[in-house]
Amino acid sequence: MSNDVIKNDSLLRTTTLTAAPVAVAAFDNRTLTRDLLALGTIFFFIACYHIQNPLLIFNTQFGSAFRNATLQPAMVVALIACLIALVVPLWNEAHGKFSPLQIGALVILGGGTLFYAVAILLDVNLAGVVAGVPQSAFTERLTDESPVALLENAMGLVTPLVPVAILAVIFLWQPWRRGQVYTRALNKQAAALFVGVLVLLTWEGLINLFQIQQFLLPKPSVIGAAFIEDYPRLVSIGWNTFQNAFWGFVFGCGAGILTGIVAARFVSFSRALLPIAIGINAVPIIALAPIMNNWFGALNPASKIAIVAILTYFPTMISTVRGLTAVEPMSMELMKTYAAGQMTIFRKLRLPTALPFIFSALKVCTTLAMIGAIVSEYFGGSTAGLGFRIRDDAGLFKYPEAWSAIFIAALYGIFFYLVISALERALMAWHISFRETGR
Amino acid sequence: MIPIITIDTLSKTFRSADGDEVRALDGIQLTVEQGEFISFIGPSGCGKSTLLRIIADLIQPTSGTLRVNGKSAEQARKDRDYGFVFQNATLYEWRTIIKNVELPLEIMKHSKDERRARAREMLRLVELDDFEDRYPWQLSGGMQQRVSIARALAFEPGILLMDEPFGALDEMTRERMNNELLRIWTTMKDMTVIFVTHSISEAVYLSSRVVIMSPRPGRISEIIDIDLPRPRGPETRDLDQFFQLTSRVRHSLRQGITLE
Amino acid sequence: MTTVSTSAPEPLVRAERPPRDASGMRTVFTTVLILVALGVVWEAAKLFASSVNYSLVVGGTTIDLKILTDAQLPHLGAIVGAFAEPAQRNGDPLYIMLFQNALYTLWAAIRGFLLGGSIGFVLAVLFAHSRLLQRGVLPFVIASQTVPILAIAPMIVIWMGRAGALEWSVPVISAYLTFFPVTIYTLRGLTSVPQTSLELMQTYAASRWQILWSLRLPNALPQIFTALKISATASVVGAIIGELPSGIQNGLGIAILNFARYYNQSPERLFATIVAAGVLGLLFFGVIVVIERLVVRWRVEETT
Repeated sequence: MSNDVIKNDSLLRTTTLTAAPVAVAAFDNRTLTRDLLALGTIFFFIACYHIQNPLLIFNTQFGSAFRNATLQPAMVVALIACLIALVVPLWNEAHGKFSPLQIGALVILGGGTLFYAVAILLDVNLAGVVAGVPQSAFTERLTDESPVALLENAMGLVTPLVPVAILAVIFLWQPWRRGQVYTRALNKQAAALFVGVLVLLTWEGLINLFQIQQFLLPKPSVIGAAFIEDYPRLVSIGWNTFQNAFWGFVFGCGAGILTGIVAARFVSFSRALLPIAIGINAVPIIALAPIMNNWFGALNPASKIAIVAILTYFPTMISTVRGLTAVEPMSMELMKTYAAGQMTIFRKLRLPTALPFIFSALKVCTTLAMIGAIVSEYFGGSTAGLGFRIRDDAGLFKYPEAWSAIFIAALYGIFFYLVISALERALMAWHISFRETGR
Repeated sequence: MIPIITIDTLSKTFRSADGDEVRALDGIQLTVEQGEFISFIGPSGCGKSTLLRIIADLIQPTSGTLRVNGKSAEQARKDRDYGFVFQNATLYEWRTIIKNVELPLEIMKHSKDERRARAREMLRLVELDDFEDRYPWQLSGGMQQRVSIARALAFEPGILLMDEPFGALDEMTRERMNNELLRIWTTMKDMTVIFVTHSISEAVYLSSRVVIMSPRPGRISEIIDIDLPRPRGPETRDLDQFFQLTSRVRHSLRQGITLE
Repeated sequence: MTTVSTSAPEPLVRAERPPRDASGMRTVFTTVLILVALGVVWEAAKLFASSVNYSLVVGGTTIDLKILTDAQLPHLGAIVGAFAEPAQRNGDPLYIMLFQNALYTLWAAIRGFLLGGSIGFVLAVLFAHSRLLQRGVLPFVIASQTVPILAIAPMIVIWMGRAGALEWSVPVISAYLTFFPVTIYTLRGLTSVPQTSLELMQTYAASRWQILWSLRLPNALPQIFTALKISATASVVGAIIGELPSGIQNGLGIAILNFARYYNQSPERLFATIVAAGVLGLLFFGVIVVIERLVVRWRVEETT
């Protein structure tokens, strides 16, 4: 009799055993993460190439998007991050054993990334060293005195390797194997894509049909044309606005999390903060902007960062408190049976429980931060900012240009959101894989 | 036999939010010997879970005394003398199975290697060693509860307190878990188990004594000795004596209710 | 054997939970306490800064405390006093002027709230009943919120002007901020019905409308009220922002703009206006809370 019991149990064990690993490992095969990372790696690689190519950077549309000096290091960091995020899961899947071709691809990519990291972050372009070009030539605008011939030699060393690197990424990525993922994603997004295309076509058609004036509502084709002409400049100034949004986010959400941790200990305190939080939320940015401009000076980015910080502070703090107190009573009793100290309970129970709540708030705050940074520029500030650009263009009825700027702002917002989502995936893999199976 | 838990005239009254008083326990008198397997059984509201939680020092009694291992309940909890198994597995969803089992060992500051070895051993005991890197959501209810038992035993407590651990499982799985539990209990030397249940057959099958409780106010109406032979197995359920004992328990339960 | 207990319950040694009233009062008390504490910190910081002449030397670095001067951060007393002072030369005291402007803003906010709430509600009902519509349109609804309202507000004003409904430009801008929370939360509430309740309705051969009315809507009420509370403050913010490009003369937004211009002369009036805006939002929020308490008596949802 007992033998039957054991046999039945092993049957149960094997069926669950086969289902589970497929579910977890299949995450990368269910979403477009890998594809985004591969495309991102290619994009950032090309961007770095343009940055370190003085012959191209000011002469091409694409290159001039990266003129902003603070944007350049960010591109290299993004390249490194994308590459690591792409390769590590591949490494895990292959259980640490790569084929010689894969190792070769990895070496090429690693070498290229290292080259650009050293070139952009440390100002040492190795190709320039070999060709005898002074370092300054790589970062300055081309003039008549620039050693163009030497530069061409240096670029001759680097340029052929770029397509090789791209091929290496494609080789590691293997998009031809991911047809199923693409069809599934297409099915999921088909309705949205259809509606989007339909709206664009109707928009364009109706304006043509009824001869609606441009200044009331520009055609999508006109906006598109303005965008293509404008985007390098917009990307550059957008980066300034984004930095304000980013730092404001860091300070605001950081303070929100820290004070949330303190507030969660005193339940009546956190409940008492609620009316104050609501009251402050009811005050629009426009009221704070003039004050901040007066305090820090309109040209000082601190005036913009302060506004973003205030905007992002309360949602984060409230979510942190919510998350820290959402612990299930039985899980807490379990800790009591271990006679665990307060610090231990915090680290091992409250904090992991709070993480999903905190990340929900952080994701909402990414768009809040971007909007806050833009709107705060409306009331005075540097001219090299998206908010200033939008206000200026809208004021002059240059709506296609205004919409292009708004589109870039939305792109930066989406990019910020994706970065935080990536962080969430890294810290809370257990939650994501749990959610993805639809449980 | 060494008395490991002594309860003397213990009472517990709850006051609800509207000011009403609820007499959860009244004048409980009980001595549990070391190595016993004792069950609390009774209808809803009889206070069996409350009593278990008082022994675990998760709730404080209103009056009466309680000694666990010769100490106060609070001291016994601080010394980690017992392991508690809840009605739900209460696994932490952000930890893998093996890290869930390691949780008490982490808190009790064992070294990394010790923890890993001990957790593996416990998972092997409940036959889930192949699942150590899975997450709780990937396991069935019965398997999660087995992990919960492994976790409770990880630090080798002398006492195991179980609050309707198999209540959410179906009959077949429950019988299998009962056998597992008996096997584990005999492996751990001199371990005392206090088991709360509302299943008569489960109580009789597992225990050496069954404590029958009745509600409003919660008190012990009878304690029945179960002298079925050990080791027990599925064939025990076919014995005449088993049927007689379950009938006795059933009658005692009915009496406790009708006397309200 | 069993003994029947007939004696009265013995006196309690310790109560298990405090009576309910205390926690509500305690929250109000703590809120007031926090506000008072903030006020104390405000004044104390100003006092400290003026005593060290607005620059603090710590170690080797000098910290500039100029933001704590009276010109940048007025005394609390000055702000309170500003309410009683006339807003313009020989005009009414500030509090009357703010009150009148607040009424304008409130009227626009209410219209925006109702408009946005209705649109949000209709969208949510549509999305709940058509997966296709939800998949196709919801992403764009979400994307619409990434466009800063201040950027499209001027365009809305022009369109409204063209359509001959200029007095609706501020409510429409306010509705832009209001409809989104209502859509999301209502959708969540309508679709979070337990499977077994749905199956019960199916055994009654209930029509879609009956299911909506008797099951989904009551189930969604707590979520709807959560959204309405968020939308209440959002509609006030939207109304204030909407006043800027619309060229109207009245409203808290215009007042804020004016006082921002005269910030250097009297910063207190801007602070006073900000307080008024915050209070307005809070009051609107409070009204929704009261309505919620009356309507949803069977379940009180945690706020926000």
